[in-house]
Amino acid sequence: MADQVGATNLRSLWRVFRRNRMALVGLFMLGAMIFTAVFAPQIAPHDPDEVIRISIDDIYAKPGANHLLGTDDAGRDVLSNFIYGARVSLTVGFFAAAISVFIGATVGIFAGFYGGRVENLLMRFTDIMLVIPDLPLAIVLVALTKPRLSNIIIVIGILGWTGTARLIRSQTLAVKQRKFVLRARAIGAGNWHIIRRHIFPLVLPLIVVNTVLAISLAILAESTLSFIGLGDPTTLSWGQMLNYAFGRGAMSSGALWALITPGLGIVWVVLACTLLGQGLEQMLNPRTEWHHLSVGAEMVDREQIARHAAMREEASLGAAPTGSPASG
Amino acid sequence: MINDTNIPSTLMEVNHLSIDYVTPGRPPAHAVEDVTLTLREGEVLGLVGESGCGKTTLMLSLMRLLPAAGRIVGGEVNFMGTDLLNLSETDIADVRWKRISMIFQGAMNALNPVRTVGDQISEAITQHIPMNDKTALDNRVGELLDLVGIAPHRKVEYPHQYSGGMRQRAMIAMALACTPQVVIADEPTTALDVMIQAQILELLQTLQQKLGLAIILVTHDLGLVAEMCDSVLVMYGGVTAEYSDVDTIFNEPKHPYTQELLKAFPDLSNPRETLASIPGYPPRLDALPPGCRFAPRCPAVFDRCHVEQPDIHAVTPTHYTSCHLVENS
Amino acid sequence: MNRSRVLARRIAWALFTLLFVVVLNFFLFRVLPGDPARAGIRDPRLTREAQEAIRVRFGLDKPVINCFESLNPVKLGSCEVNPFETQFFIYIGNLLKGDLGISYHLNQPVADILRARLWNTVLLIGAGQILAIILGMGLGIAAAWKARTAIDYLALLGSLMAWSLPTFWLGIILLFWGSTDLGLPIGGKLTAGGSATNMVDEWIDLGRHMILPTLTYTIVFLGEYMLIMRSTLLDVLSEDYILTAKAKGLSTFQILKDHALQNAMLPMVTLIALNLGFTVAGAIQIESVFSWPGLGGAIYEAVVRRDYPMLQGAFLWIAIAVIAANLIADLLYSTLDPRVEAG
Repeated sequence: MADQVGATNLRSLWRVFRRNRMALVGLFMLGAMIFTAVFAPQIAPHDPDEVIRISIDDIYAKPGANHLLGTDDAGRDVLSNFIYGARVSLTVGFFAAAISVFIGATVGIFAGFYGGRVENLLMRFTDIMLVIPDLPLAIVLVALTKPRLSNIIIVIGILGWTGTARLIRSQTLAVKQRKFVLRARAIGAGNWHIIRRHIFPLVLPLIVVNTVLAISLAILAESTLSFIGLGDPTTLSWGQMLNYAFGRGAMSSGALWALITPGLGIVWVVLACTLLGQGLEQMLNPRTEWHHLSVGAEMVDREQIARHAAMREEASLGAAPTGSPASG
Repeated sequence: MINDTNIPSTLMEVNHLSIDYVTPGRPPAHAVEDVTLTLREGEVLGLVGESGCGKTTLMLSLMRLLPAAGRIVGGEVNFMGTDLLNLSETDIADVRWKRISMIFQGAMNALNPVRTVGDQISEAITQHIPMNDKTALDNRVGELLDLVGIAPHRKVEYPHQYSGGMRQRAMIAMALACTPQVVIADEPTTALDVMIQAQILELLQTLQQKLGLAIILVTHDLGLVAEMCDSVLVMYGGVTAEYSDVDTIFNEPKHPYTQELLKAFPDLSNPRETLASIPGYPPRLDALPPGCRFAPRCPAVFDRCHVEQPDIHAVTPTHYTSCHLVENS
Repeated sequence: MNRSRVLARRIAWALFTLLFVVVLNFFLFRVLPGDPARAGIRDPRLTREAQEAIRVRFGLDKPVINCFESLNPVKLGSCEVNPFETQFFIYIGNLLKGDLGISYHLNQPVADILRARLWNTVLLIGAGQILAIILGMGLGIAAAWKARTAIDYLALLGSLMAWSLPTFWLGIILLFWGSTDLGLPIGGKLTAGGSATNMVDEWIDLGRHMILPTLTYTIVFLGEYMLIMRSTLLDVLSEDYILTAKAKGLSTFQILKDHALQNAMLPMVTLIALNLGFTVAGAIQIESVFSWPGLGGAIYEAVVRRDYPMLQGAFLWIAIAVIAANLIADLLYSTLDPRVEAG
């Protein structure tokens, strides 16, 4: 029974989802990149660590039959690095987003639900964190700790939660006033029970939307940190590919392939998450997007008016009322 | 009928007006169909019906202010000799507010929150009447506010500094700014509490008599209609159910819907009588019944009602109704 | 509540945030493993004495903060350390004097270096922001007004694309294209060894150096402003007072100008302020790519050279600038919106 309800819910969800072109395209793009990351060893033409330093010609070699997207500064295959780089970027994206959304949702739900002093304290802290610029602080934190992938994930995660916290809080405040929550409270349900059974399910859709958007922000942040030189030296993310290429003469060698390829990967994933997130948000808050100044077709449809007039003439409804009751 | 010169001249004639809402990929929703009415100088016409029956759509179409999906697909709106539907976009903009103005439902949202009340009133004036003299303009704004019982010095305040009743008064002042011939009042008192409602209506009535305005009063309050209106048009599901002078509507209603509405209306002379309410819901405009639109809820329904839409019949030369019962009798 | 109370509260709050940042800035650099005493002076060629001398020079020989026993009322004063000789107090004292320490790399006072660079960043951010706001708002207005038409969809798609671009990568691509195809300079603020003899030549040189970074900046932020403007304006244009304005016979242009835009500007101001953090992020990336001698570039160089006093100082300056800009936006908002007085 419960499964059936779940299944129909999922099916109706899919029906709504399918109609949103933005979300659909975003999901497809994200899915394709996840597929690439998971099956990297099967897809990549070369081993990413394989260094072919046979001659000077293999450094920044032009795209060709052996290296479809050319080679980088160390003679490695750019396409294979790109495919493996998807693993790093997506890992950072997913884990950092999970951390920041977890913190943000917890802070938001607690602040919104408990109100009073708890809320005041939490939201004041959120306000402070919101004002402190994220990237400079992230740079300081990563520079002062070891640039390991786990550190990067944690730093991005603990800095990116403020926006989520504010959104979830206002949603919780709205949900808290709903009748069944008030009723649950009236019959003496515990706070934890109410949060788990009544509040959480209703803020969950918003959490999902925020997670998708947080993934894109985390991937952008990781690539920026790596580009600045704070990436994990033992892995090769897209940001690091760009760091090496930019720092080691790809510009002067005219090796555009080493510069464009990793960037396109970032754009692909970020755009995918943005489209998916925006699409999901549209589903949560459908807006007609018509307004008082909307330009539609001509308001007065003269053709139809003429046709109606002709029809009336034909039916010779001469008896149709034209007088005014007030004249009587 | 003896002395024709005493009959006020006709201001506005709406003939067979039909309005659709169109959504791409769906059949159009017939929001208003074949509505005919006449408005004379100084007349107060009540437009009565449940929410969603097309009242507001009809009123907005008179000023060509329909939302983007709205289409006027039939009829004409004759105002002082010209068909408003044939005017160009610039010409209709001149008619708006100068000839026909409107008092909107919730004055809270109908006034711009970041501009002063006086500023919004003077904007309405200067849009239609060239006024170079700043003091004359200021005086006119003060005069208008005074007319609706607001101290003129409060023109420099913002809408949020006004109470709900004052905002509606300011809205009325704004509606009178260009001395229009017709004022459309779209449920002018809905959002207000009872005391304020009474004050606003009294103000409206006084101004109507003083200025000789023609008013179209959109409402679902029959008490208000009885008190203020000369004639009444009852709408149901986008069509005219009944249209006549106020005495006829209250004393000899012919359409079952009007009869039911009056039953639902508390009779002050006999307060013990229980209030009746009409069972069921008004039809959705995109899923109208095939025959009479009131048939599903009508207490006097018979077979024909479900298959054939009734035409508008004249009971007397000043009393019209769209009901098969009337034709049969 | 009256306006001056609101104002005072905003300013007090900004000061509190500032204090938080100052304290955070100190402890991050002392507590985290990348301690400058270990990381900065690890050069094996230095003798112990030389290392000690450097430690004294940078004040690293002092205790980080007064030991906690001194706070214990029973053992009050038992601690040997004079609280005014801890690193924390020296740091606060120096900050009040405007002293941010000495750069490891350039061996100059950090404050002097940053002061010289601040205006370069302001110039770049200013030019980029103004362009992005004007163009973004223009596109946003067009898209909202013509909602659900081809113009709207194109602007929407373009903005989402622009939003998804990593700033530094766009910078690299533009730099590649601009320096090879357009012959624009590959970085910096002025041509080194300036051949410019008069003011006009120097301004032209500066302009040529600014084209690419400003263009990058504009593209990256344009999309975001467009999206914000579009959705805000869509909300505003659905309000009843827009219908009132239309009923008053105002033209579409008049309604946009006199009624819609001021209302739409209110959320815009807040969002532009909230965006300042991203603005700074953009500046760091762009200045890194284009070797622009600004605060963002200072952070980049400090990271590359492990110049901790420089990193610490640059972070502090940027944080202060963002807090101040936020405060200004807050105050601007309260003058734009007549309703603030009531709340």
